[in-house]
Amino acid sequence: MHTVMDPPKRQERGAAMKFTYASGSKTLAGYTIKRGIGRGGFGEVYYATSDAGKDVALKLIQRSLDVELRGVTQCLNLKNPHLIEIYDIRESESGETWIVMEYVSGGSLEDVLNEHPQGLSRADAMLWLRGMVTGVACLHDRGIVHRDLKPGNLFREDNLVKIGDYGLSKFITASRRSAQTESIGTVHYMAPEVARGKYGKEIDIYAVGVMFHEMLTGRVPFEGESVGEILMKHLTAEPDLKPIEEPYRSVLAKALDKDPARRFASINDMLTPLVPTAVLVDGNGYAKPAAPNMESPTRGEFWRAPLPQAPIHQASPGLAAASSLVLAEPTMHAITLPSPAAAKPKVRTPGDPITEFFADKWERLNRDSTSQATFWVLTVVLFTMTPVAPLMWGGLFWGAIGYGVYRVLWTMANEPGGSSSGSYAPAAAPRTEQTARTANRCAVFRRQRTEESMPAKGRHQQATELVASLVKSTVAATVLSGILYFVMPLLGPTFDGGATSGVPMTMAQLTLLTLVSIVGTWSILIPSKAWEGTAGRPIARRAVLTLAGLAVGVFAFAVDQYLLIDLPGTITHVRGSEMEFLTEYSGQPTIYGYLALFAFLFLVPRWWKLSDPMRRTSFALWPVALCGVWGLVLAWGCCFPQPLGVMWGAITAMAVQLSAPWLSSAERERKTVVL
Amino acid sequence: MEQSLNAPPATTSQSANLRRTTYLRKTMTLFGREHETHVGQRFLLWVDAVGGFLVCLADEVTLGQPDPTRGVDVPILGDLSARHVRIRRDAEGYLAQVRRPIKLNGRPVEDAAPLSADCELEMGAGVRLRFRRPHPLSNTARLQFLSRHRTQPSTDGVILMAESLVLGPGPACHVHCPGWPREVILYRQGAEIWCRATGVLEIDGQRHADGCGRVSLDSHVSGDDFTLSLESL
Repeated sequence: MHTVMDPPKRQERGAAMKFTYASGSKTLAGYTIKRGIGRGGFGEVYYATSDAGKDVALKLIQRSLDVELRGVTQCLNLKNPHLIEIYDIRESESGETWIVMEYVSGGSLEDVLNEHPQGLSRADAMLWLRGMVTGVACLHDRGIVHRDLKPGNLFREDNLVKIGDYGLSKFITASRRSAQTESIGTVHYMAPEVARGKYGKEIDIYAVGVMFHEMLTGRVPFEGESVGEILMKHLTAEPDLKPIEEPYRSVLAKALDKDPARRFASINDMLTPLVPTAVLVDGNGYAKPAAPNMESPTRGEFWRAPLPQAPIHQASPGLAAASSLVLAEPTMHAITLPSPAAAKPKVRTPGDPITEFFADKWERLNRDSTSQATFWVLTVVLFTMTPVAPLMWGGLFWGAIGYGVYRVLWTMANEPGGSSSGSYAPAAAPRTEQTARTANRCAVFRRQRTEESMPAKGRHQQATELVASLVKSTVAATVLSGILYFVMPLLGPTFDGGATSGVPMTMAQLTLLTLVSIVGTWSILIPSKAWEGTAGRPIARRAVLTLAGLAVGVFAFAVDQYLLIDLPGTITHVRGSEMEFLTEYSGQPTIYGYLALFAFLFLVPRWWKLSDPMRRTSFALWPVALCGVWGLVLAWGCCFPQPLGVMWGAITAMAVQLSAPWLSSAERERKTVVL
Repeated sequence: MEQSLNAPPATTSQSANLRRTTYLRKTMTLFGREHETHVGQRFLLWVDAVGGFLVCLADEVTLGQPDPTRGVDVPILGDLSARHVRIRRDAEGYLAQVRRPIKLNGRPVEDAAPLSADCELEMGAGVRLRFRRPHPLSNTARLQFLSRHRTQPSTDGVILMAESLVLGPGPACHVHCPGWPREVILYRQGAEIWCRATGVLEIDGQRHADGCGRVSLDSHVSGDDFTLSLESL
């Protein structure tokens, strides 16, 4: 929500800025001013070149005080890749004081936030956060509190974040006192204790928290129409962190605590919950082990020592003491977690008890070639050459159906919360042998990484993609229905009530099949597009899809009635009078039969996984088989004429996969998160 | 070029250098002022609070490593050949004539290739530029660095100026100036460069109430909402 006054900045860069000195001025000996850059907290900033050609930034201090100048001296010799280097402090012939600094050609965080009013991607936000934490940690390590951290003082060049205007806060304070004004743009980042005159390092942690909130959401946590209102909110109001997911929410809550003693003890602690143990990947993609400790960062390297699993709300004395543990800024190296399969290829992923039992037996069988051979010979003989072969096939068929139902129910009972990302699988996500907490963090990281690698899409692009998917699904459903029209009679199912076998559908039945398949596919694609790239609760999505299924059921029934379709098909199960509400005596399904079929057809499978652009493959047969079997089971359970249930299930699963967008692994690699 | 009896005859390279660097210089006296007009040259454009740009006026520019002896129009501090690629402008658009292999939108180019209105050039070891012609009514193009490399002297981008150069807040402007309320246009009129803006314009201390005036390659121009300077190279 935005207030009348546009917070927290923002005179746009370039807007009506007039500078004291023009291009070509040599007011400071040894330097030629080329252009004005902007206005800092205490004066104008220029881009200049030395007589030898070195690029520098010249900051004109409009009001110099000896006491404050002495305070800057300690910053002159600070060296850190995340701090804008101060080369010198000079006085011009006209008596003006200039600070000669490193020139950073990249834009500021303020510019970036201006361009992204909805906030940055998680990857970008973390890049900025890590850089500012490292730089601020260096300042705190030397007893310097920045006191004026804000987006306008943070810059990024070559993916390296740099902090400027440190050690100069006294100039800023003096300037503001003289001007008797307090810029509303700065109070958004001001810790509450500043109003009481306390300027400990906790105020920098608070400011970093405010900026992190702004990067994640596009707005500062406390807004207002006046300086007083904003300061009051800093003192009394709690930030609304509900829209922000974990682990960011907890980090922000701690960083923005009103009591400075309850914030993070060290700025580095802010990163502990956010960056899981990672592996450094070099330019060739080879993983290198994380270094246990390092003194100072080197440009071009990113690494992360294994951090203690300290809970957020407790002090981390290990990290607080390790003030030399600084984090370098990453280069264009992808940081990936080793997948569980790659780390331990021989570890079997545990599943439900039945799977466990048979998987264990299968493993034992595979260890012995003699047993393996015996097994296969017996299998072939039993299934083909003995009188019990039909029984074996029937048992296998019904066993598979029964196991499928059991597996679905077991999965629903053990389903983890998660996003739309990941491959479609009715089974629970595989669990590794890591601890529960590390596994959870890895899952969070993978989900975050997967979601972050999704390209940010505007509404127009989303709408365009959706329309394209709907068109493709229409074509796919039509073609698939046509194919099944010709294929199904060959497989035996009949559409004339069982009197003869191999009778194809009537045109009316084919129309019903096609139209309902199209509408069913649309009912999945439309909400899935809205869920794309977001973390959502499966139960909420199932609820939405169930409602969609009900709507499809109503539509199907309407088409049935409008076209006066004679739809006996093959009713494989006849129930007693208590189930008459599902079918009429003639075998025609009632509205309740349609509703029940489609509601359950859309409720159980995780349809959004089939349309997820980040699914493992663009098309997989396993989900088609599962959805077909589920349709078969539902039709049997709802007394719905066969084989429409299996056809609708299979066609919908196929059409959704064929029409939904998909990112190949090459495209995902280009968008891999850089940590 | 005069040759003295004792001077050695001009070598081929000297003549070639002379041809490359010869430009039409016309000195005019207008209302008591001298205005130098230049064609076929480059200049630096410094825009306060926006950035610095290398502006090339010639229809043909060479990109490569900085080498004062080779007359590179766009010197880039990168792992490139001295004269890596030549970009030529004509009525139909832009053409890249390759001296060393480059990639255009990821595809290798061996000889020559037309440059579309928005494409990516990759030269040498990772020097990547985005070539854009943002304005539909102007043949002026902009080269923007996608990699960490820069020109020498350091600038924020390169403008291959055709008939006009538009500075302003819109996406179609050659130099994007966020926050500017209006556009400012530098345009070529014959061998001269002029500036037009809304409101009063001040060029080298002289006021132009009609918002239009001639600039030199060392002019300082300011309006109500902007300040820019040209610096000859």
